[in-house]
Amino acid sequence: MRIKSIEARRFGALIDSDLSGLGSGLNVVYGPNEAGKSSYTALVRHLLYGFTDKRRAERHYEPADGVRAGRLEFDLDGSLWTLERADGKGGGDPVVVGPNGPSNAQDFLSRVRGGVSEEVYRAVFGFGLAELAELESLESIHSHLHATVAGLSVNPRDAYLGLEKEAATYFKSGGSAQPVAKLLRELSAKRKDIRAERAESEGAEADRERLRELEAQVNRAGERLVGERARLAEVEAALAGVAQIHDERVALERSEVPEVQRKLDVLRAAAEAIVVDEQVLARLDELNELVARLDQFESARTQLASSVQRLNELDSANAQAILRVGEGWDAASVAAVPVGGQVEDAAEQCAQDYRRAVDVQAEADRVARLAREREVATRGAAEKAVAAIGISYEPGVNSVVDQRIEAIDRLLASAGSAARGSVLPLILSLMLSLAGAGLTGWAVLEREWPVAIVGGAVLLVALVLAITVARRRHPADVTAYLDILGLVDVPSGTKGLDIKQALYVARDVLKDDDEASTVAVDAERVVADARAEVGRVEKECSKILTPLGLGAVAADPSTALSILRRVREAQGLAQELARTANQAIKLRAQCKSFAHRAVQTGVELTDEQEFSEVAALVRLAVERARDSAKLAGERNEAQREVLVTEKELARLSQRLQGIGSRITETVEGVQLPDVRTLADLEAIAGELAREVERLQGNYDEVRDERARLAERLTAVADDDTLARMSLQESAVIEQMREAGEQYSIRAVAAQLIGTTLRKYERDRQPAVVARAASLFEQITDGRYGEVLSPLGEFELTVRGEGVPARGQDQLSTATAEQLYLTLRLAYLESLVGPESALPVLMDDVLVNFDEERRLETARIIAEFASVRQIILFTCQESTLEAFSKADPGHTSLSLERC
Amino acid sequence: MSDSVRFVHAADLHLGAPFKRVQAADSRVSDALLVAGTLALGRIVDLCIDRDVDFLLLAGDVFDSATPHPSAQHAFRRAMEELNTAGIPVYMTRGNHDPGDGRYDWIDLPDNVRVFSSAQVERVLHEREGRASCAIHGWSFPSREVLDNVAKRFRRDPGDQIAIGVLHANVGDREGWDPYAPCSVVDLRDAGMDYWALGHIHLPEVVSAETPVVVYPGSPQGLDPGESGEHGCFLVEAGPGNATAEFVPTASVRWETVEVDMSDVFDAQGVRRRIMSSCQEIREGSACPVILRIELAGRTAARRLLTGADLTALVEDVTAEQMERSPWVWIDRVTNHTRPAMDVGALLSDPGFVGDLMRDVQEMIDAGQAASFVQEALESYLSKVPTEAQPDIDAESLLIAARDAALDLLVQGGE
Repeated sequence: MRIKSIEARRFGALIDSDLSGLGSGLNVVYGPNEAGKSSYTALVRHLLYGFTDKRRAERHYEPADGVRAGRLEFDLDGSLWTLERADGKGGGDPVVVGPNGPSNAQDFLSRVRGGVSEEVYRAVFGFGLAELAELESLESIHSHLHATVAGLSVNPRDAYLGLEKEAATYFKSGGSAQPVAKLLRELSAKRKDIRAERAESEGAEADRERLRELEAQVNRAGERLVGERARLAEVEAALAGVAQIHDERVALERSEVPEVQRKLDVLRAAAEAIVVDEQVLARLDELNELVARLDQFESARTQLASSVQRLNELDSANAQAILRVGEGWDAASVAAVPVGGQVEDAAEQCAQDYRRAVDVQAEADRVARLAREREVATRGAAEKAVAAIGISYEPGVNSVVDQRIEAIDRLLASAGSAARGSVLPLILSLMLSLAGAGLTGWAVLEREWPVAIVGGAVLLVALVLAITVARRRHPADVTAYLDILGLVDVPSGTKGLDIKQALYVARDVLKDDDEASTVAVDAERVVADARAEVGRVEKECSKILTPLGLGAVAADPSTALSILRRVREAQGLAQELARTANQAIKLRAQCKSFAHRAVQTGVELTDEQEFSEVAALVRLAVERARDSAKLAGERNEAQREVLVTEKELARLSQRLQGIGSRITETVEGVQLPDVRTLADLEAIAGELAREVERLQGNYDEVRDERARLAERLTAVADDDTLARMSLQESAVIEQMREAGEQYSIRAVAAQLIGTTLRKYERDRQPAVVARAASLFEQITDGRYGEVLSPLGEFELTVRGEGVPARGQDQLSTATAEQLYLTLRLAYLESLVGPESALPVLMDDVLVNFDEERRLETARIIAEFASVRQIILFTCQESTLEAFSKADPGHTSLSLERC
Repeated sequence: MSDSVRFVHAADLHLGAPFKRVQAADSRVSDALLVAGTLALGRIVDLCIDRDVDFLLLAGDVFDSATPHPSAQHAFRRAMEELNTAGIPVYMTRGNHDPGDGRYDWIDLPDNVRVFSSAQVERVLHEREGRASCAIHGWSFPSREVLDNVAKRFRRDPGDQIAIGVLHANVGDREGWDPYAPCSVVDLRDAGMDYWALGHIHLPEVVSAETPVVVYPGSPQGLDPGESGEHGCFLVEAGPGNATAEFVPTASVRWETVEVDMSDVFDAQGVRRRIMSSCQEIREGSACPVILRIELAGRTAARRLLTGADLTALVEDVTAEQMERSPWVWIDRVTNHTRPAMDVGALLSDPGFVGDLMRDVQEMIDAGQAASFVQEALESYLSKVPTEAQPDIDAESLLIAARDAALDLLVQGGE
């Protein structure tokens, strides 16, 4: 890049001014003070990097009015470019126009700046005496120069420091406010808490062991307590036993024995007071036996009374029965009749046969009478029926009727079908006739005369109807039939049928008449047979009754049988009278026997006394005997109680005697050493009670501790405090890791930059410094041959032949400026990147140099201008002369005072 | 009677273990974590009862230590008593975390619990209706460190109708896990079992689906962010020469770590949206609350937004919102693993300071000097902070992260 012109439209004192005609090599621009030398130098920087904002405004470059603006015209790679910028937002928008027109300003600027920051540019590429003074800090020089040389926009040392600073926000050795330090303290506290919790947990484990131990202790204490309690109970039981025995003795002596004695006396007196009738008592069993038979006696006595009464009744009844047999009969004759068995059966059979024969005869008579009555009735009907058809009732009438029936049937059959229509009335009339005949016949037989009259009327009407119907028929050519029928012509259908009906009725009536005649004959024969049977039975009865003395009534078997039955009744009463008399005799004997026995048993009975008094007397005697027995029992019971009480008294006496030995046995039964007496036992009981109380206390104490421990252990088991603490510890550790990672990255990055920086300074800086030293030696004419820049330090030390090493602060202002200038030139010379193409603008930096050093410096700058454009402003003619000498071909320009 | 047996296989409950590597600042999270272990145990018990299993197998590390806190022991005893009431036996071994023989110090386990001896491999016949239905071979760790191949001591008895091995061991020399009781699948196969109920590895895995079926059930509840994904136990149906194992989740809190690419994110809103989206995806994939770690990755221009207080505030804001949803998602930590948005390879050939720095880092890594460099850089820090509280980032990664942080300043700082 070669600047061809610099145009200032508004910049500081420059208004519409320009610096043109600049050459590609060394340009020396002469101008008096206030000609704008510094302004042109600054304007190039502002055009390349933008106008500075108000916060860091370089006020002396502010125009009186308007905004800062300028323009550069330059040659880049053989082409003409322009860069314009007017002050505005963000330093003003650059406008770049290339050979092909407007171009992307940012790309263009990045290209021409070559990564050189504004600060670096100001330090190396566009500086004046003021910047040299500002750059007295070697640290700044190093940093900026390093950054520039390394092609960086940030000074590695700044980056290094920045990273260290950032790292220190996480961790700083010896620091206490950084997160890592805080977290360390927090972690320490957490771990302390955790240790305490664990200790408690471990303590809880110890508690667990203690709990197990306490469990064993509780068991042991419990067992011992139980054992001692048992011993105490045994001793106390023994003591209680002794006390009980003692109380028992007192009770015996003072209460029980006297009481039993009094009871014995009372019982004895009571027993002696009871008097018993021994004789009566001796017959008690017999009396009891009598009493046991008393019911039997009473029964016999009652039966005896009944038998006597029955005897009287039977005697009377027997006399009456004999009277009922009949006149002439007495007891003897009655007794003589052989009644019973076959005789009586035969008489009975005879009477029955006779009654039956008589009954049969009567029935036969009744049937014969009915038959005769029916015969008369049917004869009348027959006569009427035949008369109705014109025939007289005489033997052979039946044949005549049959002949006429056949004739009428044939006549009607031959009369033709024309007359058939009238057959039905005829048939109906005949059927009605038959019905009337039947009804009449039945009524006659049954002697139901009103019915017979009705039946006859029906028959008559039906016959009339039939004849009428029959007469209406007109047979054709059967004269013979007409003759038989006694007709002149063939009757009409209805009439014919009537005739026929009448004939049929007559035939039926005649038939009934015949049957009635037959029945009547048979009935008469039966009547005769019945009468013969009655006669035979009468003969048979006579044979049977006569031997029995009943011949007088043999003709009347029923009467005979009745007499025979009354005889038998009288005989039965006589027999019962005899039996009852025998029974009364036996009963009286029984009663007497009982009464006799009672007398023997001591019941006071006299012969005069009736049997009815015996029972009461016997009961009285028994009651007396039982009273004696009861007294005897009471006496025996009293005597038994006396015996029992005597035994009890004896037992109490024995108990009294044994109580002393029982006390000894009880005391000795405790089986404790040295326990011989009741006092020993009482002493031991006291000791045991105290021991039990002590053991109980121990047991309760251990049990309470066990309960407390168990409760605490349960709480520990359910406690998640440790887990929560561990989680919190983990969180702290994680935070430490995160902070540590952030710190580590930054610390290592800082270390990395530092290391590379040191190497860089070591490997590269010496060449720059050596070159600076060479230039510095040249400028100082060999006075200072060495420039030293120790690694890691920002101090420059110069030294020369015979000149002791001097620090920068020990140099004169001009010599120090010469040193700084040579350093810049050396760095510029070492540049290899695009930034090396940037022009260098120097504003009167040689003003403090003496003539020799000025000339030498001019030579050096002229030499640098052979590879890059250098624009050097000066207000001193001596500087012009120096450059004229050093490079006569340089471009010389001048500025007028603004 | 059926020839097969049904049982639940669980291991590595680590009851009483403190949850590490988590910042459970929210009480909902801490409360959930405090009960998570016993809750998982309760779910195992419920599974046993609901599915009417023949028995429960616990393959070691029931407790996190041989002297666990009383609360852990009581929780276990209550669970065992519940199974005892249900008539379900428990066969358990002791692992490297809870080694030793005999009874636990605090608790008297109910009669249904059988702890295998550490003296030798024990063979216990499980009886059903008075008949031996299967043989269970088991062995307990006598001490924490056992480096013998214990699997070789297991042998099926000829009389075993069904043979099950219970062992706490590292099968196949798995990295990241203590090499205790090391053995191979071949060793297990040679023992002749039908099913191997293993413990020790906390991630569920069916090591072999062929007979013998070999299963690591994993821990029923993930214990730290490293144990992400589903955790539970296996419901097993085993018969002579065959077995099927079904995984049943039991964890009540899930750990997850997700990498979120920030490559195309340029501003804070983009960062927020991307993190929210990741949380939503995680929630949709989980039936229970999630403790989430997010690793931001990718080369991004928003790298400077992903550090310090800005990121902390953003994460707190997102977390507060996520905790109000169901199931909640707790963002435990967001780690910035993003890279500067620059061509790092090109920087290696840079002739300037950055190139020197890049080359210096690479040379240190190549020379194996990263650890010593980091050690030197962090000397005072490391001397102050206990090891367990130090970041677990390795030296090389830390060096790279530091280099990127330096580049952020050196290269991008001026832009």
